[in-house]
Amino acid sequence: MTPLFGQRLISTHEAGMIGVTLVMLGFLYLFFRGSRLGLAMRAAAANRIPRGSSRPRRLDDRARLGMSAAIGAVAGMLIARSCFSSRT
Amino acid sequence: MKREGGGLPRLDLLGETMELLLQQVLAGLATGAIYAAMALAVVMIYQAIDHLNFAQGEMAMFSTFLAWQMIQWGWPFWAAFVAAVALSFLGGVAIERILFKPIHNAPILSQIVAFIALYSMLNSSAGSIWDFNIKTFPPRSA
Repeated sequence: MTPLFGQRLISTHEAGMIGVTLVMLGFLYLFFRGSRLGLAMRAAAANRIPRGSSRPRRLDDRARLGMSAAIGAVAGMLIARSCFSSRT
Repeated sequence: MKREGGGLPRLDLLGETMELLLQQVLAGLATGAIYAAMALAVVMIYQAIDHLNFAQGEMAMFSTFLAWQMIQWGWPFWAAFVAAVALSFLGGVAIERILFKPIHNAPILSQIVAFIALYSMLNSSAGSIWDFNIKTFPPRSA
């Protein structure tokens, strides 16, 4: 593992793992606070809007499954890089 | 390590121990961030369809193999990263469309069986495309 900025405390990849996760959480925070779809998804999850209201719940479900798969992909790629980066 | 001089070797030892501790804490934090991301993915699917997704790990594995393949083709790491995330998003949407929408009102055991089927399908198709051996990530040739 290459060290970050030449010091030994944390490797570049570990810093990247933390950084990428924080960036992802920041995006999700903004998405769920700021965007129409994000707010609709939160409301649907809290059951505050009935099914069949103006924004269909199925659209939210699809977006949610997609986002979940995308988050899983990020996690998979980061953990693969730290677990399988060398054949030992 | 020097015997005479009293405090100095012990101070060195303390410094090394602290550095080791900090290294371990930071490495643990990095791994914990990944666990948190996986937990977040599981929770998001749970919120969407009210069931636990048993195939979540396989979905992550498949996406990682996609990224591996793209890097193998010579793409730079971050391009493959973004492309794999986008493809995974589309894959998640497709799974919802094809698998979970038709059985939305089915009994819970049917849904669990569908998840296990998805697990099995992703696992086996990754195996048949990229074989079942452990790969180096990112690939050596890249």
